[in-house]
Amino acid sequence: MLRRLALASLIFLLTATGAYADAHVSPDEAAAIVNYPYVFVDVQTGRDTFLQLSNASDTAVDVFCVYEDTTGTCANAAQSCFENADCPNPGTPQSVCFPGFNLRDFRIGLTAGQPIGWLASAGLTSLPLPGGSVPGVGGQFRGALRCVVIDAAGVPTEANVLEGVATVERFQASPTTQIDVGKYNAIGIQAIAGTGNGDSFLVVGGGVGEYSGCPNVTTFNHFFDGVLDPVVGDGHIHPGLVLLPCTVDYANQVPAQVLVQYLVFNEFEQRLGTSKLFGAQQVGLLSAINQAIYDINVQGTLTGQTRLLPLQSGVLALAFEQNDATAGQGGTFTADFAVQQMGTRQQGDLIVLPPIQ
Amino acid sequence: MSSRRFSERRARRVGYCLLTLSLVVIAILLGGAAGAQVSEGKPASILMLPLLVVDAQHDALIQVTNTSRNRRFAHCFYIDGTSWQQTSFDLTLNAQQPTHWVLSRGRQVDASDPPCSPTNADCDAAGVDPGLVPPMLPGFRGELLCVEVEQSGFPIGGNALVGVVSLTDVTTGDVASYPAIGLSGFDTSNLDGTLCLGGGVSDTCPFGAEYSGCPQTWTLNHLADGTPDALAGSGSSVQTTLTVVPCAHDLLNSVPQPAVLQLFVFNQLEQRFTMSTSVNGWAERHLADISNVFTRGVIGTDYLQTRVTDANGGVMLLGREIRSSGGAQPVSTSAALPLHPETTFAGGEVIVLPPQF
Repeated sequence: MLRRLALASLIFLLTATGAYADAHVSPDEAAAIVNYPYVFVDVQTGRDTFLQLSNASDTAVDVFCVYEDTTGTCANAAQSCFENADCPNPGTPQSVCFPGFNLRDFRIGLTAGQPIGWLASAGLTSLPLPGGSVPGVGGQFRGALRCVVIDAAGVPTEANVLEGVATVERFQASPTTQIDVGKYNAIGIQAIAGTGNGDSFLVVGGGVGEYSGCPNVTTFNHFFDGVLDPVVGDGHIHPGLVLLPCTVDYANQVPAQVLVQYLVFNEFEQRLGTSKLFGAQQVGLLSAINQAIYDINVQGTLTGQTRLLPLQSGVLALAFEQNDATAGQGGTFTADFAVQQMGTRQQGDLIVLPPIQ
Repeated sequence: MSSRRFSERRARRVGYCLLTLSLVVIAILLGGAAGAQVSEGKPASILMLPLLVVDAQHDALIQVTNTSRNRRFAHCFYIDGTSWQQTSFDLTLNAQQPTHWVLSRGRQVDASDPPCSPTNADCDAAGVDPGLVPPMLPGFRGELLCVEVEQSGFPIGGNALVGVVSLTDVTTGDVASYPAIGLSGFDTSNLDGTLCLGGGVSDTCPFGAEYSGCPQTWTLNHLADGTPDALAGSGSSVQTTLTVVPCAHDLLNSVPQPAVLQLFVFNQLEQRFTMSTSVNGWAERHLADISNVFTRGVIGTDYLQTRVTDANGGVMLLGREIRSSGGAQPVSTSAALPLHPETTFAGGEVIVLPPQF
């Protein structure tokens, strides 16, 4: 009897722990690491990002954050760029924007239940209650922000208490007033209780994960590129995607290199595929991944589903749409929305922190 | 003889150890299960789209996708938030098939709809038709509830559905997108018309929970009402609206379910305020209409964290932030404000579907 009970218990344990290991990253829940995959500032075009960070617990916590600046540099001029088209003589072979990877870190303290917020360009000179300051990123920035819960000694802890929201805004006062925002929840990576060893190597998922794993497959619904807006009946829709690798080495300032496989389904149940390599961050329209397979005239239907499978590192994804509405204000309106995650990667990802003061 | 006794003792000891360990794991897992189980990031068996509007200024585009490799079916209900009138229809989606429709137009079944092409930009109905979707007339303001069913119409927990809504201001083209909120289905479905959300075994739910439970507490990270937009400056303002949908639905008797919401607000100075409000079925509330505590002038800081708890059960919440530019000719933009589900209602509740006859 006891042997049977022991065997049943063992089977249950394996099953139960297996199920528990299926925890995944989420934009829904408070976590020990929060990732803002897209932070954008370009003061010349009236664009900036509001970042909100809250402590969802009843005790104070310390937080270590790193801005990843992927703003590029033109090959043919000493100037910053986001796309090849931003460089002189666009369209020529010399007009290439090399992506950058520069880091800027800071440490703050949040009191119990405290929400804070700041404009990315300006930062926060001092927190409302004593707790440090947030540096501004300046007038031109494209990149990401990640924050990790630490203790007073600077050691990463297992407290799943952080929640974040980002609002990417464009405001133009003249010649006509235009205002447009896209909003998303920061993507949380929860710590797994009892697994943290306190070192600077944060193991995300895998067999010995200290944090829940990044998604194996990510899916999202979208329009195909160039769809005539079916609601307004005017203007066209251009879908886009932001990808941020789960793996990053801050100590040696080395971004990941990730090959992503894409499968695209249209409303006829037809499937096309493509792949694309990226480094520190991928930001752009779906048509920049593969112009043909995201083209409305190739796919033949308004909407589709994309499934993406990253290979060398997990990825955190954010989908967005740009609607070229010509009806009212004549501006481009943007909406951000979360994607769906299916399963977790078997291989772990690694976040290597620098020494924390 | 003594060695056999020793073996029995050892087996008994191992059995007790494993039994104890199992109970500990059960306790941990049940503890974990007390966290919120709904997700905007995973395919689900019940989809809730809390806010849909058709009027002179607004319309919506709805996308629903089957993420599985098999044909799937869903039974959907539009529920008017004012009259509580329901309008139901069926969806059939082939493997991996996405589909879409505009709320005010619905979708007809016509296999001869031509696909999109350079000569046919008006191709809204291209693709495999998912079934007849009725249009909602101007004045509709309410929710959409979709339940995954098997081919004969009985509810099942297939966890294949995801959805996205794009709310459009047709006068300006401004778009706010949000993902459907999903409830995962379990293998415990008894195929009847009473869908058991969370909770244990009862007379109504003889097999216990058939779906994950609804959140009882959500957190909302937002701006105080009336806070100026940092880019638009003086005269601009930000407002937040909550859409509330009690999880329990009685679609058999068309009876709205009440909810009593308790709100705990934390400002940046670690000060806490408490208030409450009640709704009867679907409702929309400006935060400033619930209490002037939510206004910038009263609460004293820009950034707030609000915890919303339904005192009686589970509730679905969607936030919407409206930014107005101010000035002589003010323009505004809206964005969905994602919330964080924190805890699940432990008591269990039901969605009662109308009978199939």
